[in-house]
Amino acid sequence: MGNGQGMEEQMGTFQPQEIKRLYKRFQFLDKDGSGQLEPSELFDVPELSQNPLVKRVFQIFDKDNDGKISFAEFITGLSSLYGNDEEEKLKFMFKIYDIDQDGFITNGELFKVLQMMVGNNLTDVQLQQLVDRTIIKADEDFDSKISFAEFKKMVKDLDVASKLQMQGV
Amino acid sequence: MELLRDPSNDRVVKTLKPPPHRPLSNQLMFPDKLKNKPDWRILLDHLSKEGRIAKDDLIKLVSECNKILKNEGNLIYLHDPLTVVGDIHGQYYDLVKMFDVGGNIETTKYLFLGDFVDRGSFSIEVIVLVYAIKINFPNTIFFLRGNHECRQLTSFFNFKDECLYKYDQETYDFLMDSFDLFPLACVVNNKFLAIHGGISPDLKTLEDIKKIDRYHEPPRSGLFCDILWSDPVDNDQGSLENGWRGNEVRGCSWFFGVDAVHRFLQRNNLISVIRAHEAQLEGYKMHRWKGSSDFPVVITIFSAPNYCDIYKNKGAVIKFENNTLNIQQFKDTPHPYLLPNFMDVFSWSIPFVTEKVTEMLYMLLKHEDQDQESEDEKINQQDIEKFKQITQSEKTKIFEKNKSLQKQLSKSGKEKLRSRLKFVATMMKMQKTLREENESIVLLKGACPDKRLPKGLLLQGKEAITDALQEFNYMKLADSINEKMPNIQIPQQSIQIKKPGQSSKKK
Repeated sequence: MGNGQGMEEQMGTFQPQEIKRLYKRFQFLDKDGSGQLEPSELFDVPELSQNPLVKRVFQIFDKDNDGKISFAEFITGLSSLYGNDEEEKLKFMFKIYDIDQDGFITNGELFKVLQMMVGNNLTDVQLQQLVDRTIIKADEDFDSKISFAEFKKMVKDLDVASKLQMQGV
Repeated sequence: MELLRDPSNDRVVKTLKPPPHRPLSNQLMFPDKLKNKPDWRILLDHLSKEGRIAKDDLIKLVSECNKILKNEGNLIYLHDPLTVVGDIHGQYYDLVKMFDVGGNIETTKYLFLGDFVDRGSFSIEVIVLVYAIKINFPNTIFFLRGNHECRQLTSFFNFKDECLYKYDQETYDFLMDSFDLFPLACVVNNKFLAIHGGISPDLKTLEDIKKIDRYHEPPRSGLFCDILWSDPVDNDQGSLENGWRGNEVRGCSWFFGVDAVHRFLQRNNLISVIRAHEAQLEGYKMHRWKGSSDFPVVITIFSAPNYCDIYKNKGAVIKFENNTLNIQQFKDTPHPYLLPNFMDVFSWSIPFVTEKVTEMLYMLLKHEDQDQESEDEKINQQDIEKFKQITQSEKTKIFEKNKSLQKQLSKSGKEKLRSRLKFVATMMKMQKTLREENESIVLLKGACPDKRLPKGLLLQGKEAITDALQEFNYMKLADSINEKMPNIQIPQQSIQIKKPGQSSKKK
């Protein structure tokens, strides 16, 4: 979905008052008033400094990969999480692991993302053993990496969509 | 068999060999030259690398072994040289080490006292290997049934979970039926009775064992149960008034003392009972109830070193040779790391990811009080212009479109957003607990891989432990709930013994 066209549907998730509020919030975060969010403007939010996934989420929001988040990208990113589309949420979750966003989670990508979350609780060898085993379990077409379809199958019992459910109950 | 490849060349720990990608091929597992026998050497190597075997091949393996097992009597007779092996409990990598220590598989007679499965995470691999060598060496490899070789315990503990994770319910049922075929006891050198648990008040002579109908789930009481469950009383003299006491540690069966054992041994012209069933710090225990100069009337052997990854015990086997008895100890072997219940990394990490993402959104979107403006909820023209400016490059007219499509709201936009944030905060709280539970299992160094170990107990009081025995006893105490018979009613299964040409049916 392109930045322009996709926006129509994404905006449909939010009411105008909400968009206005989100814009005000965007402005508040945009400390240097550049009209875009730079990485430091997110990472410097005190409560987020301990969150190991801020960088991943930033990179997912940053669709055109220019290292900054525009308001359009901000809204688009949020609406995939605020909407009701289960597929969208699964895609978002997939993108957390698919660092280069080529549609496949490779061995190294899975390792690196997990390492962000695990810290020193496991050795590299232990983590590698877990990664290898998961890939073998998930990999149905024997290409040694995990496609979106294979990912969906692995997580179908986890009810990812409702866990990423941002609407009121 | 080909190992998991790394096509993107981004696998991080390159020094570690990955597991085989595919199950062992049928041609490799059952090569033509061996007819219906499996190549146990290839299996030993393949399984050590965490390789799998296909369901059909497992079923075939079990079927071939069943043919041998069902023709063995309840009571088998063996003579030395012989190696006797105690509990293994799914510790495949320790089993491989045990074979090094116990003697060459091709030339050594082995008697296993049961408890192949549960607690450890490689029970399937243990079963595959021991079945494979049994098929190849039917007259030198022997199994007895342990208390864990049954539906009740394997469903309470983790063998059933392992079967369902690696295979399916049908495979599990097939294995349960196979366990029903295991013999119950063995007489060694006409001098020793070998069983998994211990003796029984209902065991007067060896004939009593032969009379048991063993081809079904063990009952919760009586001779068949006692052979698998009873324990020698835990004091140095074996003193026990009346010889027997109800076994409150197990919640079933008996403790037996020196009088009971002595009576039994004398009547049957035996000198000792060899059994397993209880973890031992040194891997074995000589119950010298008749005094230290006499031969121990009970010997316990335990072959699962560092039991449950926490007991830090040695494993041991008994080697009978020329009518003498030797103990051979061995230490634990490292094994691959697993999450509890064979959890994959997505099931493990996704709760954490959702927590962190919702947390991030909450922080991004929450309003400081001064941010909240006094209440003009209507979109004014200024806002539209401003918004147009910043989105001009995307050429969107969505704002006007939305304005014209504005629906009636039951709540004001602000309230809705506020309730969303509140919901997010609650979800975060819920998800945090979920993840903490998973993490605490990982954080516990050497936590038992099965789900039964009471981790709360383990976390308390560790500072007080000063030596290995104290630590061993502490672990034993913490784990004692898992030595009890679980309180689940399982229907008694039985199978009909195959006559040639017939298929067996489960009742």
